[in-house]
Amino acid sequence: MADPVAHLSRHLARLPGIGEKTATRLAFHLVTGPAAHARELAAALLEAVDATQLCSACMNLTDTDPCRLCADASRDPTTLCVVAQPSDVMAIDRAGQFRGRYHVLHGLLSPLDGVSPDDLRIAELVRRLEPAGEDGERAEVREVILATSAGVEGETTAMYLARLLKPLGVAVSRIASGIPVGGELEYSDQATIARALEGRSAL
Amino acid sequence: MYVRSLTIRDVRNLEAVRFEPGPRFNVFIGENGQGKTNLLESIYVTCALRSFRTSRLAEVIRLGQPSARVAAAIRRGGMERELDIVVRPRSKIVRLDNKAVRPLSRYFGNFNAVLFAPEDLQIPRGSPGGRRRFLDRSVFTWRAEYLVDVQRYERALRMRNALLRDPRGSPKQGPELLTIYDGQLGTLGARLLRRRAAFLADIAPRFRAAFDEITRAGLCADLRYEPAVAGDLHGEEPELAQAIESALRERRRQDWARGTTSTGPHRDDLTFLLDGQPAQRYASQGQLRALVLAWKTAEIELLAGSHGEPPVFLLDDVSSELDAARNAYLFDVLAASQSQCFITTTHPGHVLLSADRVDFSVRGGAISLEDSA
Repeated sequence: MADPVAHLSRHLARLPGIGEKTATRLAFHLVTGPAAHARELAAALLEAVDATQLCSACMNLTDTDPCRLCADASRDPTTLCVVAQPSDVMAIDRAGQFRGRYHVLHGLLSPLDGVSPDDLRIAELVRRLEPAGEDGERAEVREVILATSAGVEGETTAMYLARLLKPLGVAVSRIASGIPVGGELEYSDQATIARALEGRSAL
Repeated sequence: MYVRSLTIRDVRNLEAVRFEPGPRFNVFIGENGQGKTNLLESIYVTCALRSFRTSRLAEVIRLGQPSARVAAAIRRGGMERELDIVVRPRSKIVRLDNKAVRPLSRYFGNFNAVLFAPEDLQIPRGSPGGRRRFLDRSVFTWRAEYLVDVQRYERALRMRNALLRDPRGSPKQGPELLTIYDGQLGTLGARLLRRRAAFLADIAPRFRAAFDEITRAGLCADLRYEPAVAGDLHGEEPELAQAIESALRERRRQDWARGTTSTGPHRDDLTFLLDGQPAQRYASQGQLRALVLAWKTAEIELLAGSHGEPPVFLLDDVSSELDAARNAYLFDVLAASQSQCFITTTHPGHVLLSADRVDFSVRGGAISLEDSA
C-alpha cells in the first residue's frame, strides 16, 4: 500500500465503529474516486471542526451561539430535556414530540471510567435553573425531563440529578422505559418487560 | 433439545472442528491436553456466552489468531435454530438464525446446557466465591434472564467500589453518589436474592431425594442459603431491597476505609448440610462428592420438568473422581434422562453406557469418529 494511503487509513481507523478493513476500503475509495469529492470532504471536515463550538446555554454542538434550538422562540423555555450526548438531542428532536429546550451533559456518571459529576456539564445545568439570573430566561424553567439511558450509568446520573435539582423548586421527571412501539411483547427480554411493568400507567 | 451439528474454529487448541453428534451419548476419548474440555467449553459458550473456566472470554481464542468461532445447529421442539458466536479480543458477535441479536439478553434461553466438571466436586468445601458461581450457573440454566440481573448488579457493584477507591472522591459528592449506588444495589440485589431463593426452594426436595438414593445410609442432606444481609428471602422484594440498602449505609465508613463493598448478595454463601451440620466441616470426601452428585442429578430433573425438554448435559471426566457405585448411579441417571450428553474421558471403561452411544477420539485438537472395531 502506498504510504499516504496507509497514513490516511490509519487515521480513519481511529474513528469509532471503523475497523482496519473498513478504514482501508474507505481510504482506497477516497483516493481512487474523483479528486473533487475528496477535496469537498476535506473542506467540509475542516469547516465543521473550525465552526463547531458548544452552545453557551445548552452545551449542544453548534456553529452559532446560542444554538438554533436555544434561539428558536417557538420552543417552550419552561421545559428542559437533559441528555447525555449531542446525538441524543438529534434522536429526540427527530421524533418531534418534544418542543422544549435541551441540555447536554456530555457523558454519564461512571466512577469505573473516572467520570465524576465535575466532569459533566452539571454546573451549567444548575445555573440555568437558578432563580436569580442576570438575563430573563433563567427563571423560566419549570420542568426538567431526565432522558438518560436505562443502564446503570444512565440510572445513576438521573437519580443524582433528581436529588440535586428537586430542592431548586423545579419538577423533575424521568422518561419511561420498556417495550418499544411496534415491539412484540413475546420478543422482549425479561428485564425490559419487568421495567415496563414497573413504569405502568393507569388508563 | 439437542445439538445436531457443531462447528468450532480457533477455540484454544481446536483449530477447525466440524461434526454431527448423536442425539444421545457422545463420548470423547483422549489423553489429557488433547482438547476434550475445550470442546465442552465451546458448547457451553454457545449456551451462556461465557466460559466456565475464565471470566475473560477472549482467553478462548487460539494463540496468534484474531478470533474464535463456535456455531451450532440446535434442534428444539421440532425446530432447528442456528447459533453462531464469534469471539474477538474486545467484543463478541452473536447471531441467531443468521441475524445479529440485540440486546444480547434476547439470546439466552434458546439453548440450555448443564455442566458437571471435576472441580465441582470440591464445591461444598471450597471458597464461598466458588459456591456462589456454582449456584449462579445453576440459577442461570434454570432461568436464563437471571444472567442479566447478575450483570446489572455486578456493574453497579463495580461502580460503588470504584467510587470508594476514587482519591478524588470529594466529601461533598461522594456520599451523595454512594447513596444512589446503595439504592441501586438494594433493588438489583433483592432481585438476585429472590431468584436464588426460588431456585433453591425448587431444587431442594429433589436434592434431598437424590442424596438419599445415592448413599442409602439414612443421612439427611439439605441446603441452607446464608445471606450476608438478614431478611425474609421469600418476602416482598421492596422490603429486601430496603434491608440491603440499610446494611450498605451502615457499613459505609468501613467500606470507605477498605475501598470495597463489604456486604450484599455478592457476599452470600450456600451451606451443604448433613443431618443439620455443615458438610464442609463434618463430611467425608465420599459424602462431599455424593452431595455434588445429588445436586447435579436434581438439576437435570428440575430442568427436564421446567423447560419441557431436557437440557444438554456436559460431563467433563468426572467418573475418574467417583467410586464405582456412584459412577454407576450417575450413568443410571443419565440413561434414564432424555438428555443429549457430551462426555469426556481418558478411560473409556469408566463410561458405563452401551446403547445409543457414539465414540469420538480427541487428539491434538482434532476430533474424529472412533473406529467401532
